[in-house]
Amino acid sequence: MAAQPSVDPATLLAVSERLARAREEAFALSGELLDHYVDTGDTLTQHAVDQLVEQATDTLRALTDSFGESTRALREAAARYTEAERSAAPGGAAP
Amino acid sequence: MTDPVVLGDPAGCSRLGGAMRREAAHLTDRTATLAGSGAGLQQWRGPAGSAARDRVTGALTGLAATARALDQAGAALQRYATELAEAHERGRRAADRAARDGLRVVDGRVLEAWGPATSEEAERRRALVPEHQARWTGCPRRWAGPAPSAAHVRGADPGPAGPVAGAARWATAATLTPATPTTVARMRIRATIDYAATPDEVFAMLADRDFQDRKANATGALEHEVSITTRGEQTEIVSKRTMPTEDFPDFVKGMVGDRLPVTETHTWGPAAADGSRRGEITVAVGNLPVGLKGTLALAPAGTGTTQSVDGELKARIPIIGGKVEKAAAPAIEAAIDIERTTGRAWLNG
Repeated sequence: MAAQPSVDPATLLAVSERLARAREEAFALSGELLDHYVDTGDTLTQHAVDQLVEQATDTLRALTDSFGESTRALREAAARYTEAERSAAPGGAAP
Repeated sequence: MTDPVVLGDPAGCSRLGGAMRREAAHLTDRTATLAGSGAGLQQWRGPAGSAARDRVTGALTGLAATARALDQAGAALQRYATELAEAHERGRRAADRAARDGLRVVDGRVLEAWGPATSEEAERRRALVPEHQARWTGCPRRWAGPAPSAAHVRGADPGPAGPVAGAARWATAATLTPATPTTVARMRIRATIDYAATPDEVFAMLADRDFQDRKANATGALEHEVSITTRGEQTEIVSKRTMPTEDFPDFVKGMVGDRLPVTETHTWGPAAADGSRRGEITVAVGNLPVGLKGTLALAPAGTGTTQSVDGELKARIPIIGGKVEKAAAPAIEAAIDIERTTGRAWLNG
């Protein structure tokens, strides 16, 4: 008989859903930042602000990727544990 | 309409600053929500659970640091917008005072106004220039501090903090500090050309269609069109050239294609008693938000003449504006070199 998972797959799915929403938000916010163009009136300031927006966008995209990876990992684990639970249940199919 | 004496758009800066702070608030809320729901992962034992918790915790810490950095940068940009608006107002008042004394302010420099004036009036205006220049203090402030490195955020940093390190560094870098009051600085293009001829002879050359044709051909233009118009005491020389882009950086070629229309306009004022003249130059590049704007002067120098160009190149393109300016500057400087070479050859017959 397979060992029971230490965490409820439904919990993993709930967290993965929130991470997925965070991923979508981070991605949307990165796009919103790029929609703005400001004229600061000073070359050095302009370069700094342009660079800041670029780096902020990169940061948000990096977080988007990170949340995406976590979401996938949690969904896969939830699926695996659900299958394990099903197998362990009386009359369940062997894995 | 006169040009603004202080450049920059306070409203746009304020909008971006506000957007950054709103985004920061969203991210902070999201961080709190995720932190609460992620507590359920604590029950997950074993290496898989440990790895998942580390990954989520790292991302959450990065998210929180990013929110703080965005909020700080947004606040700094809002302060900058306020100072820029005040500089606009100071600039407007300085320009009004200068105008009352027969002077004008162009990009932070006090100059004599256009138009004829008696020698006494011209002398009086010239004497007032230093006083007005000293009064001129309207200027934007300057961003200081190193730029954040996205490489840290992407995980290139081998330290355990990973994404956090980049965001934290970014948070401390995103500050605005006051700079010494100065004139508005853009990418400055300055050049002088010395000719062994009088100012009148040099001006006659510049206003000669054949000379302008020769200059356009020397730039390597695929085609060109020149017009020279005299209105009252002003002479306008417009040279429209279609330039090949094969030697441009790839990112510029990607934006403009293989041909780039360039319109160079020189507007000269009347000659003073010594033959000197002042003028203005603009260079427009197709429909791109890139251009040069500045002043021209012809002045006697010994037995010859010095022609000077003092302009500022600006590319109003988000993110890559600075790169475009750097790419365009050599082309502008090359065009000035061509004017020097072609002009000297012309005057030597």
